[in-house]
Amino acid sequence: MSTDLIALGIKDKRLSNGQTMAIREAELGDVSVIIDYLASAQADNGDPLFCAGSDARSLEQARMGLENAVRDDGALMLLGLVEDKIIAFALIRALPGDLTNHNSTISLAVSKSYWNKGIGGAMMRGMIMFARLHPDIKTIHLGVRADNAGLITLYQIYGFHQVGVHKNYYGEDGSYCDRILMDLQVN
Amino acid sequence: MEKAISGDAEKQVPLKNGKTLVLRRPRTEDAQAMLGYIAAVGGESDNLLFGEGGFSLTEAQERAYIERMNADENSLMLLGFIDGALVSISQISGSGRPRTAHNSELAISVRKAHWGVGVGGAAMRALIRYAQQHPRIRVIFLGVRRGNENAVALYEKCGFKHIGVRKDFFCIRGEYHDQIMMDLHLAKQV
Repeated sequence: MSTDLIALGIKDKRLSNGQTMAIREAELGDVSVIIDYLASAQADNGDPLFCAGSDARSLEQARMGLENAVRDDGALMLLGLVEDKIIAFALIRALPGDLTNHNSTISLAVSKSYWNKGIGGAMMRGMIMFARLHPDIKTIHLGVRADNAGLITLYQIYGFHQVGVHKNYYGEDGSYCDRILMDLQVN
Repeated sequence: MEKAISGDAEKQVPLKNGKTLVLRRPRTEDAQAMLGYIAAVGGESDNLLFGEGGFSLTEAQERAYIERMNADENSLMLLGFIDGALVSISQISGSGRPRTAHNSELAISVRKAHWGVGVGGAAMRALIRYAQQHPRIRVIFLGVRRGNENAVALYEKCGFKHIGVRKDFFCIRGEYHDQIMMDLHLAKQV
């Protein structure tokens, strides 16, 4: 919480459509709105970490997960806002445990109507800088749908390389898609 | 098919050394024994996600965790006892999230004094049986330190396939070790 975003090179971004995207750190009061955002079709990249189901139990799990991440010093949660509305969500978080806390994971969602405007890149740069400057983090892990070529390319641009594949990880109504696992060594 | 362990049921498994392994779900009164187990097991090998001293939970937190695990319809935690002593903790956890609810993750540990007599295999089979009978779980994932050949052999025997490697995932006393990632796809009707 309360990370110095300027030190991470994170600042408001002028978009090609003339709008300005503000980037700020998420707070506990944002959690409900974030849950709605990640569940909305707008943000759907197939891999939001905290995407909740409609039942009370999975909503509660999503809420707890997000609140813990907001409080966690080993985590940075960023919101991209246009006219006070969330259009992008990014989270980097170190794994728990003495033997594994040099690993971190990234989760990223950008609203479809704002794709191809450099927003994912701005979020990625902020998160990678956070990892570089973090005293413990050495590696960033992420997972991405195998059919999301644009996002895979974005991750490759930032140096991520494939380290594995979960066959049929994403599935609904009998149709499945693989999950590509990618790593970036930052320190 | 044999039924998965549920509720208060116990499963007795004969071991190679003539002793009997009792597998059952944890009860809140197991919390103290589980904390003692966790504090001891991490220092016995370099194979786990935590090292010597385990991780710090209070007994109340551990009890709450047991209650959560037992209430979670996508997860099964199993304790293994030999002659009344806790010798193994294992669990399988489903994601419960939409679109990925068919995936689960497995973790297992056995006290070193009881290695090599079939405790891990028995716990694995019980967890896989649970996944087989679960309405949604179709895939089980696990990670193992590269170099832990006994575990890799056990997982391969259970049908797990290598799906990738994370470089330097474990840092043990200042040395880095890779993690082998493995998936088991259950043969199930859709």
